[in-house]
Amino acid sequence: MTDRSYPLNAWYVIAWNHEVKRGSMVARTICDKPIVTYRKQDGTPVALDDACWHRLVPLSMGHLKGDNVVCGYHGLVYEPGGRCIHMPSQDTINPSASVRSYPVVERHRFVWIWMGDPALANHDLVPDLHWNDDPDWTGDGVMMEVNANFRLVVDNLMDLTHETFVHSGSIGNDAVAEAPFSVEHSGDGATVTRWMHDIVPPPFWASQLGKPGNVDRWQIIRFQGPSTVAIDVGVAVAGTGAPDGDRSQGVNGYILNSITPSTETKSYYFWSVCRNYRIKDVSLTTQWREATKMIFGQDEAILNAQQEAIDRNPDKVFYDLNIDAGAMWARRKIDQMIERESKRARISA
Amino acid sequence: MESQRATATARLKEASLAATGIRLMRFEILEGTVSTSPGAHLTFEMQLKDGPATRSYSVVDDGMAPELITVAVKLEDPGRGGSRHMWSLEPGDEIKIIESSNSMPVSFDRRNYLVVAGGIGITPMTAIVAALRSSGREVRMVYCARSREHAAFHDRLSSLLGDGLVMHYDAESGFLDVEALVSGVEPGTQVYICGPIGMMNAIKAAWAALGLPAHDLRYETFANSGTERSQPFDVTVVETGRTVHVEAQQTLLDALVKSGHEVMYECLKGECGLCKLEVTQADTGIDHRDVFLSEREKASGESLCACVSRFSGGHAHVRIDGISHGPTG
Repeated sequence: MTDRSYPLNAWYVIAWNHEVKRGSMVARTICDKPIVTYRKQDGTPVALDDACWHRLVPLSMGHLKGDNVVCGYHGLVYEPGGRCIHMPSQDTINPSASVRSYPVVERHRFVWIWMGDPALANHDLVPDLHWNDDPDWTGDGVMMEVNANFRLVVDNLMDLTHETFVHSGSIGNDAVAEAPFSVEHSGDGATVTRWMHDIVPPPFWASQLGKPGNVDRWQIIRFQGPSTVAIDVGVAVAGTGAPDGDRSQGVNGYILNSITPSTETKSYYFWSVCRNYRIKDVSLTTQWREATKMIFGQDEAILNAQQEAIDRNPDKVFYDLNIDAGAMWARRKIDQMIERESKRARISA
Repeated sequence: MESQRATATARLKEASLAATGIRLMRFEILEGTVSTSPGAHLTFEMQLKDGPATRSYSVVDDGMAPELITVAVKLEDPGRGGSRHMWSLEPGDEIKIIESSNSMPVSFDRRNYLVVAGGIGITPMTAIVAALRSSGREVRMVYCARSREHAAFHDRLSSLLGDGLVMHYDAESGFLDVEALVSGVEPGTQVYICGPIGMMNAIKAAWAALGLPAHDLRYETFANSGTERSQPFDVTVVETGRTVHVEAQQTLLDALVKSGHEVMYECLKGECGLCKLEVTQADTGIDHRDVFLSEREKASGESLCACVSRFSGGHAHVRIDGISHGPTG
């Protein structure tokens, strides 16, 4: 078993697609490696190791010249494939001079990077977050830098019992903590389903539904290993058949989350909130995003404190509750992904 | 500044012949980890009769044992002793492996790829082709070998590439028509080449003559292959006036360092140019085996890279210090 808490053979979000602009570079540390990402003239995103082959100065400190990166120290030039195509003061170019280039793909408003064996970087493996750019849906989100291991963020999303305590007053109420849930798993995924029948809606959902009376509320949490969680959420007027598939008397949203390990104690947390009603209402989109920012800010404070506590209590371990079933399945799936790659002798890293 | 490279202790698990003169060796890791990627090589530590030495071999991906480290070693005779040592290992023997950087990493940003391999240059290509095919890229490969018996991994490559694999046997059809090959390359194709220096130089020359973009042609240097058989020779060092004998199995750099001359060097494969010497006098030609000097510099006979290049016998005079570095125009 390796010491890494994350697998490498997976697509991770490196940036929102609008963050990667033509003519400038974005530097991020992904899976403990400094990476620089930018766009070629034709718009295709590129990701390279952010360290010049020569003396390791970050390439992101240099500048772009067409599709190529010029190191800001001695002017070595790299093409998008990572090969050095210019060296100062010599007639030839050392054929070994190159930096690693990584497979990247732009999908669902994100730029994804594959840090592991490039031969396995199949685009079909990009997690499904299609609600982000599906014409029947609308929404928006941001990236938060969290000072916590990515698994802690996944834990947080796989068990929404915490809503009752962390987010009381917005989306949490006693019903969440007390409602039963079920867990299923297959392949690299796991799903937690929780229905709350005939409950008083929490304030946020009451205002979204805009109808009086009790509701049937659902939270269907779909984990796609190693770190993408799409949560199907909503409420419908109680007794109108939502649990049986008729959501016509309700409102539906998706909380989309993909967490990218930066280091063992830092993560880039990309999230968005999407809905399939009043989709032309831009103000509502902004309200959803800002409300979620506030709610996730509460999570962030907990997660940062949790990581700090882990670091300050090296002699202590986690104990588990019944409510952790979903999170434990997610963790087991992540472990299995890591185990699969460590069985191969040729892990590229 | 040297960074810390990962190392591992490995045990030879099985060995077999991949083709005439090519030994396929599979190692299991006992302790430590080394990472590799398609096109990368690993460095093996060994004890030769002149002392400790290291040799690098490209990692092979023949699809058979992904949990083991597989290399293919061509017996070089005469060589500097590394391949003979690798051939002498028996299953159960242990060896230390050091992780190396990948000087020919695969980029997946193209639609079309052409791979040209000659002889033992096939080894890194096995992994590159497997990686490209498994990610759905179109790959055409021209594989040159002396004869059918000398071609390793044919069945594996054939199943990966189908009609995309073109075998070329020198014994049957003479040397490859490099100009026809290069002029037929579609624009935007990424080309990887690895093989004997003669083949690589011919392809590079044809590439440059057509004005094709340099970064579309990627190659790996095999430092020990020259255009001529290695001869012993003598050099007199201008600064010290001393004459040093260089054996056929020894590099000029080794002989100079052993005789107490201080020479700056780094890559040991003719790439970085730090060991360049000035030739003030020579009674034979130079077998330039480096990729650092320009064709013009090589033709002038005024300098050579001591780590790989050598004189074709006879006696020469060289200057180590105060020589000119930088572009020659």
